[in-house]
Amino acid sequence: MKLFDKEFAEIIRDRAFIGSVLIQFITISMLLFLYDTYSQVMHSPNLKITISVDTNDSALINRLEESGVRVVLANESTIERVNAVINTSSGEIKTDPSNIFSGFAIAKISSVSKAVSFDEALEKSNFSYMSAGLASGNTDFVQMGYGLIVPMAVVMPAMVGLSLSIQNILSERKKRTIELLLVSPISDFDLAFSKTAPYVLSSTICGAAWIAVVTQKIPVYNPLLLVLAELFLSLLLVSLSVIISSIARSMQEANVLSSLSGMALVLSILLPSSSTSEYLPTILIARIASNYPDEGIVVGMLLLAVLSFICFWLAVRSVRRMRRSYS
Amino acid sequence: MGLGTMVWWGLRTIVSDRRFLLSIAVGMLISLMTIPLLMNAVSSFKEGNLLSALPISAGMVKIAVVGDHPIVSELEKNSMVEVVSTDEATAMSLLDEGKVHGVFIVNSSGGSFIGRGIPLSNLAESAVKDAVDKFLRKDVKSSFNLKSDLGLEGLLRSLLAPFLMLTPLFIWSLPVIQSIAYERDNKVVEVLFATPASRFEILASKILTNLIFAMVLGALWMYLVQFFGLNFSNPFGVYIVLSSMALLIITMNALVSSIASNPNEATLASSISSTIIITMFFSIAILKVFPATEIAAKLSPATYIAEQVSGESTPFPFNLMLVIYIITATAFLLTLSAFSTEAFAFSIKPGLVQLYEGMLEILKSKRKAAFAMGFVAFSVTMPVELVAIGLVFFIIGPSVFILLLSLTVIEELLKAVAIYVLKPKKVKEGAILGGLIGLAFGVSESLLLAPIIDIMVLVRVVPILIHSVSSGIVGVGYAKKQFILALLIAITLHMAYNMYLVWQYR
Repeated sequence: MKLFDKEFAEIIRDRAFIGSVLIQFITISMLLFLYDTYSQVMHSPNLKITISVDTNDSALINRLEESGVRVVLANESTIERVNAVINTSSGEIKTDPSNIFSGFAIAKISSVSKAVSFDEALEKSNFSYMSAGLASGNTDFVQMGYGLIVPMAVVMPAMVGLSLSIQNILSERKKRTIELLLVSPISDFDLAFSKTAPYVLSSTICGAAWIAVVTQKIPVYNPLLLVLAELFLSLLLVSLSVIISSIARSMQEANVLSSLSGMALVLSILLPSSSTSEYLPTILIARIASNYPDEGIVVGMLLLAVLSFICFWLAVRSVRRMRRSYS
Repeated sequence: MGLGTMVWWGLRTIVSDRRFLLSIAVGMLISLMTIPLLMNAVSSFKEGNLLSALPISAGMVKIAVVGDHPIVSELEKNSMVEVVSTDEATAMSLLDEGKVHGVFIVNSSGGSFIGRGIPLSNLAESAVKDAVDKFLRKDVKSSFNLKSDLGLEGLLRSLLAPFLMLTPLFIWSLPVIQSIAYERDNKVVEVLFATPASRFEILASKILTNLIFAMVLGALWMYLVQFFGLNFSNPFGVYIVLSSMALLIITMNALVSSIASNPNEATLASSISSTIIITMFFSIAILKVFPATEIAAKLSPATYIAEQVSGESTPFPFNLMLVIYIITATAFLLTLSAFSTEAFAFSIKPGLVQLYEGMLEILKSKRKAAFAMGFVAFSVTMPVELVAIGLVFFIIGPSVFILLLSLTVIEELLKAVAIYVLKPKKVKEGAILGGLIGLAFGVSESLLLAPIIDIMVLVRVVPILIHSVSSGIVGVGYAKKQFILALLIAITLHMAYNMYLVWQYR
């Protein structure tokens, strides 16, 4: 425990750690700002979008103008820059792909298209529809909030733990101060624990703080379960850092390997859906944040816990291997 | 030991680390794999939202359905939705307990949705409306129907391309950290300083080594991405931009490695500075959304790369190159200053003040140093202002006054640091040195904001004057031992001008 206390105290005083906490805070705050304000910008009357339409369809034009865009007919000459051109007969939309305004234009056209189509379909089919109990305000980016911001708030501290832990162990290897620990009577388990637990704890505390910050803007289900997921994810990645540190021959190599781990974690978001997708850490976190706990979430958490403990066991074995290489 | 020999040895060191090269290869492969995966996701996405097609959205909302209607099977096809079929009483009970996000009651004549008053209920309702729309439209011809991809594939490709081209620079620029921070830590740098090679040659060799390495990887990267759907109208132009950005990031890494007190700090600081540089250039690209500032967006490599991928044959961005090389030159000058201080060799972290003192030593003239420090102050200002903008927006909100005040204070303080180092003793000296700092600062700012160089003087003469006058006031204030008062006057003057601009363009 004394070793754990010493390591933890060093982490808290480490400027690199303090710097990383500041960077994480800025990143989360900017993402939340984007989540909150982008939607306001999207519906702001000051957002000037001009769309060209090839037909004088008054219903369509009225709907587009109600959504806040300016509509010009394709055969009209205008000095204004057109952000999107709609061909109503083929259904094609042409935009300037290098202009970020295109995204706004596409989103506006999409929402108008859906609204027009829906109202028409109800009327022609004589089908009534009503809704109640909806949230007020702009809710355009709900999926982004639960699918990207919350997972990022949980994954970032764990990734920082991975990176800082690698730096710490490799610098001890370089200065040869780790040899004193390796030749001491401390068990492999205690040594691995003292190297991982402080980073796991600091990452979990950070993760809990960011979850509390995110909850101010995004109402999250199961915050305590998210903190537990943070704990397991941190244990997984920090144990991985011990393994990487024991096999890497240089800090450079270790940095690249840790970057690759991060890339693999992010890449998991893009893999096609399969029966195992819901158990990937990032996807599991999104589900925990957005749902009441169910079987899938419980199984996912158990799998994450098992994986993290397996990784920790491998970390203990890496310590043993390091010991043998120094003896 | 000449520059060429040192570069050759540096390259041999990098190439001999096979595991590092293998790691880079794996990283490039993973990045390349993201292109078809993302394009695949786009090709199957539901209207209006890319995230709907990704597994991260699977089962995000739960809806309790009451009633038996074919619309329910349409709803079940949406991977974002998990449907629970039940009776009304149970459904309302599940809704109250929070186990479902909404209840959809449907029969042959109509349907109604009841939510919980949370954003996820809105998401659930949009899925229900989609399902109703799709079912009813089977028999109804819509008078307005868009192609489902909404042209997003092209947009995504052009947004993805800058990320794919610029983010590998993080890894390609790592060797310079090893060669500076670690050699300093191992005391190898003292051996190098004992050789006949000048500090300029030693530093230049390290940067050149990494640059050659990055350029080789850049050429390979440009060749590979075309097989994954990224083609450029002017590949040579993109390559030049990529190499210039690599040079900038490598030089910044060299700078932070020189001033960090240990390799750990150097690695972390380098990744932070690289992130800030890339974020800054992407942020400038966003200026394209406003017609008034669209031309300024040309100063972003992200804009140029996106235009190239979308097939536009845009002119080569010489202004962007100018900005990159100015920042690179100032970073190089600061790094050389760090190399020239004793603090560097003995692993003590030199602060900005010591770096300025190093510059004074190298340039041997207060006036030349003042001019150089003005450029340096501007380069340092940019990332600091970016952080300040984020903090102000989050803590206070979109307040124009507070934002402008914070930016003004940052700019005046960073210019004042240079005056503090130069220590003018007489009023005339203070005015001249302060004026030169402000002039350099204003000129760099103008180069960034007024890309049409031949009209730069006409458009930007007042801001340059304001910067010169405010720094001149601080210089005079320092000479008269009224530094703080002078700084406050400078901030007030600068802020008054900024508020005038806001009032004018409201």
